[in-house]
Amino acid sequence: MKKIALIGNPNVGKSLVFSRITGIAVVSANYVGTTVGVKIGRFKFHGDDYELFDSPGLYSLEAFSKADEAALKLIEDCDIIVNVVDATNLERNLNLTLQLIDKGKPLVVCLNFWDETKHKGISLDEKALDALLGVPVVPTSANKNEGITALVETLENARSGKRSPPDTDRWSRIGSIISAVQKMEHRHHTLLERLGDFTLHPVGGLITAILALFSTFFLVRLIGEGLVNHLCGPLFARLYDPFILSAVGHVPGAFIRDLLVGRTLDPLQSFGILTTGVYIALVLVFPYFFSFYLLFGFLEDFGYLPRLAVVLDTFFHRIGLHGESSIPVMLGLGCKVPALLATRVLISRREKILTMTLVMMSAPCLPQSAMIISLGLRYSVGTVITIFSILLGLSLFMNTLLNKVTKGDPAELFIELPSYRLPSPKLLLKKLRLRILDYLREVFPLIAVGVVIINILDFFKIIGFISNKVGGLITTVLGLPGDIASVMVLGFLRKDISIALLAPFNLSARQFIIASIFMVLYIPCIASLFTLIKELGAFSALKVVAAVLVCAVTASSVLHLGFLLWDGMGMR
Amino acid sequence: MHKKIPSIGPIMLTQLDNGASARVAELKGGRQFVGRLEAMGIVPGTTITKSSSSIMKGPVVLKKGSTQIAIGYAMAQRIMVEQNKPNP
Repeated sequence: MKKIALIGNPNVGKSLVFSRITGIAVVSANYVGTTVGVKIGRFKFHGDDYELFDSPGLYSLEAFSKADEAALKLIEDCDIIVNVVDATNLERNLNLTLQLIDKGKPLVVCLNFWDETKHKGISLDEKALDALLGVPVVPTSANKNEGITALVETLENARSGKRSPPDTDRWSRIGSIISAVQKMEHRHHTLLERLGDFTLHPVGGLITAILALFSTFFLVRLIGEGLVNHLCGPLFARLYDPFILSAVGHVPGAFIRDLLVGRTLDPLQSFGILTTGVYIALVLVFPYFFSFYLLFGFLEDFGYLPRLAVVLDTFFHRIGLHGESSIPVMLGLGCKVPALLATRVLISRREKILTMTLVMMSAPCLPQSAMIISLGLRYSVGTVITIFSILLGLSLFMNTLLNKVTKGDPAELFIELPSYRLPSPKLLLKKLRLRILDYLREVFPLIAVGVVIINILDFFKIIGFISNKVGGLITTVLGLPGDIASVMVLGFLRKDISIALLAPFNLSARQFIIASIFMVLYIPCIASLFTLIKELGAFSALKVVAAVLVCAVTASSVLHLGFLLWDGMGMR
Repeated sequence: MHKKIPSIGPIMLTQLDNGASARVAELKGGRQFVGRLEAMGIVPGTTITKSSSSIMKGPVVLKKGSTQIAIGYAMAQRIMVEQNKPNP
């Protein structure tokens, strides 16, 4: 089977080409570093089987980051290279193309974003380029699914091109190729370009950033709450719940019935797989998940994230990082796993570890946030704001500390700013669907396992045993009921259920604040733990986890002590 | 700050006016620094445009062809540029 590798500069649409050819949906976005690992897909053409590899973007054949190394290895291992090139930015892209041709492997050049060249006043002579490079050149517009069949058909004609004579200056050769194949018309700035300039202006950038963040939060809440109150909530209460209760009524065996629907009717108290599990996943978390990724996906595809990185750069320098770290942190508001993986584009190990700590501490992942907001609002808006502010404050404190104690120079920002692009609604929805399906695939089995575990623990009186052993400690240090120990065990599986399980304890607002902060920080969920180990190695990963745990215990007990002192002063 | 000095020799990119174009004279840095800029086509002799800068020694945005790149302030200080002399 022939191995075909998609190689090209960052953000030229490799993942989109990959997904068009293989039919495998992958997350793509308008910024450098969306793909950080190699993805494999298979396809058949004229009866032959091919293996297609998607890869992280490269500017040259020199490795700076872990993501670069993965792409370089792929170039060595593959049989045919499909060099995906941004047709609107040929000059810079040719640098890699010429280096790839010098490798001598069979190659096809794919001129992607062909449709955009017209708007940008660029006309390219692809036949002339073909002749100058000595390799087939195929124009494509992967976002519109144009030219993909032609690209696949051309794979048979892949050939090694004209190598540069030794001692040629690559950039001057590029210059002569460009003047032979490309003509640029002068034209007026488009609205999107003007917006691009405005969002980089020192003041304009700040205004846009504040506007973007606030309107995103506002819309996420508006859409999320709307779905909870007017769609998911009523559907659950009026249709699903009565149906499932009567259906399970016919199931023999009280223990099984308890597992499925629990003993009480309140969907947050019963802990049945089909009641509480479905309620958490579909009524409390899904609406926010949907609204967050809808808006986040838009910002990603629009190309705003790298601009935000520029605006936040000065701030991130204060905690020993630079603006590029803001992208993993933003991703971490959704889920920690892709956020931790996104640190692969960072160059030094030091900035990687600092960014990962920030990702894990600065805010809960989206399912957990949704639960904290749902339960926290039963106390007050202030309770929710307090929890999120304390977490943010703690993470900044931790990073400042880590920055002081770890050796090394702070790295510098170096990021390409893509042109703004109006997202295609079709692709946006595709990406949203992909993320939702991933979530649903993971959430139900783990919630089911969690509910079964807690019922078994309860059945064998293990919860009582654990509570007896460590309950006293939890009460003294954190001021929480001892029975919470059992909830802590489950937080490892899924962080959203660990917060949901707090509901039956009828905690006071202060206890809820302490419990939430502790539950967010004390340990990463199982999926993030394995990602950390994979990315950093077991030893470093455990060091990071231990540091965060120490921070969690310290912060929550200090908070408890603070509340006690506050009350003590009030008494006097 | 030092913008107004009518310099004849190369100046740091941070000293160049926003919107001005200049020829890259020298990249003062290690292999990695030079390598990353080289990969983007920023090599001595090429012309770049400074699109914008930020307050408080924030990043500098530069343009090379149709590529826009944001780089840290300290990095921009190590890119020496020469402005084209105005025709007499």
